[in-house]
Amino acid sequence: MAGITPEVYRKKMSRAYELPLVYMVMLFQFVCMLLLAFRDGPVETFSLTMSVCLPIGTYLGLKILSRLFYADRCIYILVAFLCSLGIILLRAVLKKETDASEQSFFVGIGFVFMLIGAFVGSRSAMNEKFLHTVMPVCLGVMCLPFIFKTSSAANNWVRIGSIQFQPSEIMKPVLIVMLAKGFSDKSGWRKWAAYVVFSVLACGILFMQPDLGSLFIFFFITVGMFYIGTGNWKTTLFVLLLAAGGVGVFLSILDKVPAFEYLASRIAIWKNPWSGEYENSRQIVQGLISIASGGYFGAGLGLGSADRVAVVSSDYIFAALAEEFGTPFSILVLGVYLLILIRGTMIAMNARSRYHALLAFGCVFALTIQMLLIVCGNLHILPLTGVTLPFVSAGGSSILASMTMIGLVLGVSGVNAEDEYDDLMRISNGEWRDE
Amino acid sequence: MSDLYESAALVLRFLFLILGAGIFLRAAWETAIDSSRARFLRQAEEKTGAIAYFSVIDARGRKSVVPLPREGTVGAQWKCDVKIGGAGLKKKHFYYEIIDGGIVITPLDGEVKPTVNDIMEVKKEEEGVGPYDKKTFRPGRTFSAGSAQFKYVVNRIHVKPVSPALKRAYGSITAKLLQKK
Repeated sequence: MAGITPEVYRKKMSRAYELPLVYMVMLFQFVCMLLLAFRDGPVETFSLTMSVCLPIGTYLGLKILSRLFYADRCIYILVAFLCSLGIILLRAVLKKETDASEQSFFVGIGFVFMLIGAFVGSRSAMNEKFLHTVMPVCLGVMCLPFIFKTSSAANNWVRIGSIQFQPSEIMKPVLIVMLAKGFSDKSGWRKWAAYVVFSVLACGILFMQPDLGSLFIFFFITVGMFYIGTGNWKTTLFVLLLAAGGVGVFLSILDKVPAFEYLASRIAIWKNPWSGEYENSRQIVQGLISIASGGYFGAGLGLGSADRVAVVSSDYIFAALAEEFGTPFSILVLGVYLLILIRGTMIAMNARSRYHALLAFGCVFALTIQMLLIVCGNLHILPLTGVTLPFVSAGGSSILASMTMIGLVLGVSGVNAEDEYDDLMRISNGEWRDE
Repeated sequence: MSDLYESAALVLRFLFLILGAGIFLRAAWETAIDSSRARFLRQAEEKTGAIAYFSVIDARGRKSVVPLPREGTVGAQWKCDVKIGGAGLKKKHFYYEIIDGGIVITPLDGEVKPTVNDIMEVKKEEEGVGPYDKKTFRPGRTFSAGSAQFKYVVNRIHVKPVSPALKRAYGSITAKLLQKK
């Protein structure tokens, strides 16, 4: 009961409530970038500039967000911490400033996407006819990698001129918005069918590319949101069992289908990376060595050698994190993801409409699944699927998609805050408002 | 890379760990407080959650008040968000959603008949599919479902005054936007 008194609530509502948290994040950003500025002899301009720009950007972002929306500021600060951690790691590990500056640019653009996401999340569900019209367009965009092929083994990238992006990343928030609209309708399969078919087709396209990481994420988003939206555990269980059976069959025929040769080699490497039979197994081995060499306190910022790991900037950023900052710090970073999940789930539980609840849940669930896939891949618990660590890994599409999803969650939290404001006025008969 | 840099990086590892722990613990503490407040508000749903209610008169003329969350299903089944027994309703009779200025009723298993001239809008989802036609009613209007008469009454007036606390909390732009609502 004490948690609802006007005094306590006023304290919570004041901007000062989040200041200790944001100050700690700003101090972390400042010290890390300042340290990196002195790494290679003469003072390095980019890191020195970022040591000022990152903390100021984080604070200004908080101010802008607070002025525009009733958003959950704690989630924003945690996301800002993770984004800055990505920039710091790229600068520390890769030693080229272009990667870190590109990442900074995408984080800046991502903030704008977050605001757009927050605006969309705070509105009512989109018109059904509009969503039905958008569906074929989305599927068409997902098919683009078949036309604009890149040199990567998994055909999931599109390169048009100098621009390169991953359509499956962009489709994640779109899928969540669609499924939230579909499963929030209580009319049954008559309404859900279109959205389920859309999701199945999207998964089929990802399977053909083949982009198994995104496929897993799309599948779990659909199943998770279906269960939360409908409460139909029998169908959910049936689909999960069916998928497990499908995975079993797929693994048994993997070696015999030439189109999946790339996947077969990845799984073989994962089974025994120490054999030296495959050239690519070096990535897993170096990644594990990198994690182990971090120890309790890390090798020291900029003193590690995680750059030996192939694709460290996106696939193995967690290994770089463990090496530079140590295992306890890495666990704390995983704890930050857990807090984002908990806060997102709280926002979903507090939402007063099914659409908003599903929207918030879908977004944090997708980010959590993605985080688990890549961390388990780095720790050699699962085969590496090529997905990115949300907010930390290098990659424009990934950052923009993750920021949009967190923006949707913030938008829902804004709607909740308005309702909460009403509730508290009712409980206290306007007492806390007038003081 | 100088020796001084190496020494600084090695010493600052401890600061980074302390800052990481501080960020995590502070965020966890804020989450715990927010969680307890949210739990309290959910428990106080009788006072806060119902933003409107149905005044129901059953076939025997008995009157009852049914508080409504923002949206949900109404029917005789326990799975429904609002269960109303003894009113001749089907298992999942209809689905409602409260919007600004009215309530949208979507019949599911049962039929909803508006009182003449009380209906605000009928939106046909698909031609020829009668039971799924959405009907929007203004506050104070009545309709029948099963053997009962339902009257939709708004419980909460959405007035959002711009308070100093709100301005402090969320800034003047949002506060002004809320005032316009």
